Amino acid sequence: MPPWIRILARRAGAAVVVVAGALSLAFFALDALPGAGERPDRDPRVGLEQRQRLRAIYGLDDPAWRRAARWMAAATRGDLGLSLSRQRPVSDLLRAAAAPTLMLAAAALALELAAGVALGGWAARRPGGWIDRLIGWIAVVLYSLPTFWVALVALLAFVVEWPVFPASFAADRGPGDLLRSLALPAAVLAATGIGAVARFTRDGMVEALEQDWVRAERARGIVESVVFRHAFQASAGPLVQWVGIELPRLVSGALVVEVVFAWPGLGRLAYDGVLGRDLPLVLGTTAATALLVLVASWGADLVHAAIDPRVRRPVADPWAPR
Amino acid sequence: MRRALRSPGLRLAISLAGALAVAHAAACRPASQSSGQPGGSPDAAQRPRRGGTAVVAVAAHPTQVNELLAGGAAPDQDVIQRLLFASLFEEQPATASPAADRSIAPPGFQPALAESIAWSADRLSATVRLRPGLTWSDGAPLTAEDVRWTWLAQTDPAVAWDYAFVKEDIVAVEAPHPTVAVFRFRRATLGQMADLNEGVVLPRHAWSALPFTEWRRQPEWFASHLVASGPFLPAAAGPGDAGGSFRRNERYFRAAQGLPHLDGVRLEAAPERAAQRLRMLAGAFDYAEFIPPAELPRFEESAVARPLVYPTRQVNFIVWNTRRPPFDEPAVRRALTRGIDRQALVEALYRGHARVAVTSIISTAWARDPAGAPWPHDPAAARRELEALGFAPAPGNGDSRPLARDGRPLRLELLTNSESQLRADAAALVAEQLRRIGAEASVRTVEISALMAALDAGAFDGVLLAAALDTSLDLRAEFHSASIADGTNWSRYASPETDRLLDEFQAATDPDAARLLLHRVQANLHRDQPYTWLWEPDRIDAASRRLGGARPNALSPWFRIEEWWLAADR
Repeated sequence: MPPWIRILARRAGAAVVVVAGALSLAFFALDALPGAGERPDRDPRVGLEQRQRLRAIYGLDDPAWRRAARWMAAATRGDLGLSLSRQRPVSDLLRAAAAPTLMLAAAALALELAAGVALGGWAARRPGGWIDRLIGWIAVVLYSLPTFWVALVALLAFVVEWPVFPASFAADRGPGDLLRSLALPAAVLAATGIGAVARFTRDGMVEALEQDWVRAERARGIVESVVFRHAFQASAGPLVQWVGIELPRLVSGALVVEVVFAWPGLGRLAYDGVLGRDLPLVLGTTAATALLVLVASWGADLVHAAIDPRVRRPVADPWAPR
Repeated sequence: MRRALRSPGLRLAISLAGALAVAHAAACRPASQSSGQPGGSPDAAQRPRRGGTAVVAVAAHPTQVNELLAGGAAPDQDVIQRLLFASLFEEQPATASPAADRSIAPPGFQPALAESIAWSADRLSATVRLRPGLTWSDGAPLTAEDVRWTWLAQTDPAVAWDYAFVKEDIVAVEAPHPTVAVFRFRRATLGQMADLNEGVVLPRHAWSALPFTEWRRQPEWFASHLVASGPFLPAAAGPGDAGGSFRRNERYFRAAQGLPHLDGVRLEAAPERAAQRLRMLAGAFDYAEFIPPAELPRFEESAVARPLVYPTRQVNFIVWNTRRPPFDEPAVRRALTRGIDRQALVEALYRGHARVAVTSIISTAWARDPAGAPWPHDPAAARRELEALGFAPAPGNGDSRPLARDGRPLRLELLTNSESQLRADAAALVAEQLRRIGAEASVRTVEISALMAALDAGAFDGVLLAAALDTSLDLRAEFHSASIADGTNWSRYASPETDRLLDEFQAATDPDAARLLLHRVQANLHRDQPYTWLWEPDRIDAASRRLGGARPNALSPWFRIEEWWLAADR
């Protein structure tokens, strides 16, 4: 069997363990909370008999381990159960929410990379100069801002006081409206990431620009823009790896942005699920997020391998029997 | 149309998003608007205009169109039911008359799908006559069979409707004629009319295809088999599109009167309240709920939105654990009540948009005891009363030394739910006031389910809560000793006399006698103080300045949504 198939199989096996672990943790943690299986906004006048009847109908009387096993078995068949709060199959809700979240995350990532790389590259031109220091300061500020606060301030500034963006955000409109709806939430979600990308890019470029091969290129009279491009390519590896880490953060971090901007994505679904003590919905969003994390991580590895030949070299499989 | 039995805030104001939960008031003033607004409401200047789509902010898109499956205080269920379905009669907000539950004449119930009701002499049967020519939105006739089948669904154990208990006195519903339904009762009570009318009429021809035993297994089925009797129906015909956009139902029974005025209503989910309010001020919505009193001036000054202030049925109070010493002594509870400056709470938290409460029967209810008055705030007297009960200042100097008895300090912890900042603030103020009379009071905010668990287990000293009583004024769940084991008698209050009075009130058929019974209940509660009743709040919603016809009241903010109209399109 080729080594890459073995590695892929092991990664898939590890993915199953990671997802099952995350789901088990979510299941037993939520199940242990007071009032588990009952809506937190239940009417207290609804008597014990009725509550017990509903628990029996929804199979909540069984021990937690049995319910967990039943849920896992059904999940392998694609049946993620029924959302107690939304009264819809969880898989339907996830399907509807995945596209808006991916759209938001992709737009935010594109903004992060475009703005972050531009700022980082600019700062790397004169390390230690006032532009470098200013951009460094901006990067730290952006990285430190709480997303919830940024979202509310952005809403106040750009929707209420200076209405350049629409007050209604919807993912189900035509391309023009969609872009206008998407711009502000994506910018807010990207804000912290821009600072990080700028720092990554600046540090990598400064290091690359000090290499001997860069001096050699300059000595040969290659124009500075080409030298810069080469330096960026040489320093892009860690950035790609960072994107692999950032993508899951964007998906899970989208929760706050989705809630504030009423964006109908996975984050809002998870938020509603937790507030509504909706165990199937929380498990479904956990599973979806865990899968997205794994897929993003694999995707980053593949992209990294595609742009950096050193990564493609056959290496010893660290898990291979010795 | 309904007696607000299930609106979110009926009972505990524990809705996660709305700390100031909905309310219900027995006698409603119309929603008031502050003076000096730029623009004001279009109601005064213009006549209703036909057309346009109103955008309503909701915490989440309601996804269940079948109210029997929707769950107790499911958020935003009220709006979807009022959009899509009609009841036999429409309960009116002004129910100050004791006869309100016993007559369809104003101010109790107005005809809706039904045009009349006739009671037998013994009041054990009621003959309801439907309007002729009623149809569902798909053109199928709406008949008495729908009414009978709705009752079957409401009471079927497999459907397990949360409010099936409301129908327990109805033993049969017959449909001798397509426009005549006869309700048979087990006994005559004051609340028969409300019991009969509770719930919307469901479409038998469309929904009986799914057996009752499958309803809980396939809750999503109903949205894709939806037909409506209300003023609107989903704009998208696709399956599962219950939330979102709604268009005018041309077959609505009030269509001949030009209703609804609006072409459509769009519910737009905005789960985060602060962001929702900002967007309301930016003109994103025509209606949004739950404006905090502190933000009232901002809406008064807005050129886009205007505040609507209206009374509720909600009462905020502290539940004392009467099984835990020293709160098992009524005199201690009374002293604590006197140590709390409730008027100051009203001023600080509500800017005057609330009233000091006396008991759970709000000040405008028909059976409110006119002799009842709040215990006066008198911290000096409160401290004296505690000292008379054997509490003495701990060693040291100063008037505010904590009190103790038999070596035990007068220590109490106030619990409240973390979802309500307003109640958390109130708890902090109350604790500070109680410390001034010598109690070592502290506050702990917990998540609502943990709070409910503490209440159920009796693991608390005092809990700051809010609740609202429906128009039945049935206090058994809160104060009857039979409700300690299974009910919401969380204070564990047990008074044989109060039990008897509550039972007699429930069996009474004469409104005047019932009123006197409830007066005596209130006197007992006022004396024993199982709760310290704090305040009755007003509720503040916001409407756009182009929205006319909005008449939010204690029954529902969406009351007669078919009469809403827009002065201009967006």
